[in-house]
Amino acid sequence: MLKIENQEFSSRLILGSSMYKSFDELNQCIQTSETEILTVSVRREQFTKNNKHNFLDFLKSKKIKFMPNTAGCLNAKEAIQTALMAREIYQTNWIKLETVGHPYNLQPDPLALLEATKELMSQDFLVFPYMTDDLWLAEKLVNLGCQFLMPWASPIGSGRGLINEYNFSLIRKHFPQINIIIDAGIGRPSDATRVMELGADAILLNSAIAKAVHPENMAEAFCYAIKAGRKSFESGIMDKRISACASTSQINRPFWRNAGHAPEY
Amino acid sequence: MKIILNGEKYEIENANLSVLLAGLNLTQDGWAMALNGEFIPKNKLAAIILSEFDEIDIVRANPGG
Repeated sequence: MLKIENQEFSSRLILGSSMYKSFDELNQCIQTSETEILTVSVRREQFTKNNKHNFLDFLKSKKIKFMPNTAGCLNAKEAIQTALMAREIYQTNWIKLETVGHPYNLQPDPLALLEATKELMSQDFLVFPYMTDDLWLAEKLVNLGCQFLMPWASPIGSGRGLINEYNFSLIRKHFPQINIIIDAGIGRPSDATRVMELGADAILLNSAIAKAVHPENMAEAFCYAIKAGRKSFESGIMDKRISACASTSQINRPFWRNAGHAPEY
Repeated sequence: MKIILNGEKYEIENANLSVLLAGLNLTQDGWAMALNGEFIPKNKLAAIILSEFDEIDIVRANPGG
């Protein structure tokens, strides 16, 4: 079970709610992915449109936990103020803290992330910091009191999977008690299985499901993949070998004459 | 008096923020606002008097990843 504060979640898949064709499609993906946590955002009210759009009403009809984000914020101040507005709207102290550092790969700004994390934790937020896979940064965040880390697998929306297994494994090894949620870059279910096998506690997905040809089916595929990866991690994976090792015993094989001696021809 | 509302110029006659908000037909909850980049909790809105070119952001729940 994934434990966050005093709540336990049987699903280790956190689903992004963006880019779906309709609320109905999102709803189907929530069901087939078996997710219990949905990421959401805040955006400016569109006064010119006649759509007092009912996303919050849609969310309230679901038995699901919300994880608001600060997507797109360019500095610590923007992220802090966005988090405060999100808390008032969604009535949760959870915040997926994002601070854009570079426009090309959208990598998080680590300095702004640290500054905003410190301030938001002082205001009783539960911070989920979206970060690069950087051991130094992970240590700083943990020292500030973070119980969760959200390193990227690769740049958001790139679908490249885990591009630096070494960096991820370093963070996993150094912080065995910290929940590590892979956020961004997962493209296919096998990517998800791999990072779960390496010890990730959960995965946050959006593009990989929403951009699939059949999102509801892909959501189900990710559900299986994440379960398989976690089960594999918990089961203890066999060591790799260089040479072959037959699984069927050679002893008492028909025509077997003498151990260690090949038949003579 | 001109203010900036969600990035657009907006003309108001009354500088009281509550009057502006009432005129926007906002629902009871599901929204939040910032004045000049600072979040203002709902229980502090009533006392605010706006100034020329104040920037107001009003946000709602939206999908996000």
